[in-house]
Amino acid sequence: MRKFMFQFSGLMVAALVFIAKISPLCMIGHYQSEVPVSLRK
Amino acid sequence: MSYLGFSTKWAASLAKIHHLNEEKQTELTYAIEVVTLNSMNVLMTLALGWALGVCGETAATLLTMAGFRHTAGGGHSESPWRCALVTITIFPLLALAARSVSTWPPYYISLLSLGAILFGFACIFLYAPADNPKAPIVSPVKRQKLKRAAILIMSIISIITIALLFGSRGNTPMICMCLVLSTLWASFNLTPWGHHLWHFIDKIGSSSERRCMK
Repeated sequence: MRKFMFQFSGLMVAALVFIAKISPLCMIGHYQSEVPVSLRK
Repeated sequence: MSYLGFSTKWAASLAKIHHLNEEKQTELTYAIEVVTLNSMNVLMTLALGWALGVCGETAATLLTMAGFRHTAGGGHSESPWRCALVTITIFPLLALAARSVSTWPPYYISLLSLGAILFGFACIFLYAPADNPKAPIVSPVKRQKLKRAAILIMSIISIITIALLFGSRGNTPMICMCLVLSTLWASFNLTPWGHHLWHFIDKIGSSSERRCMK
């Protein structure tokens, strides 16, 4: 169970970082979170 | 970098488990904030649309807006809560307006659609991509790519709008007006007036808050 949780959270981290990389501009809402310097293109 | 409390805490715990460095932790914090705020905004907007009986139409306005803003950008609020309030109310209102406008005579509907398409293209050519200090576009190549993508998205929206204008089955006039009104709103957000509107929304109540703090 612990291993599964670890793998699941790892996948979640990878998915979130991928989303951050492909979507630097805010899409639906009207609030822009500060884009990390490493993601600025 | 300043992020909301929940995203900072969540990212810190995930970073600790997976031994991420500071850079990756910041990216994770940003991603958690973007995904959570956008998901909450979408769910609440659709819920209000459903309560008002215009869930499908609200979804159509949201989709148009997402496509447009992803490439063209636009004006933003400084506060996530004010943004959420405006987002949750504006799209169901646009859907309700679309329902009302779709009953107009075809001549006026065609004229409004043409106006929205022209306004959309004009705003994209003049102002897109509209970045802001929190999400600056630093590379001129990236800027050009986003502009081209915004023109492509606007072309797709225009083709769908024109196709829907010729369709008279079921909800097609209403969906067409959803596309038209959300294009007008998204384009307006690109203009300096759109930025002024968000600045004005951010200022509402701020003077009284400051008085309370004193």
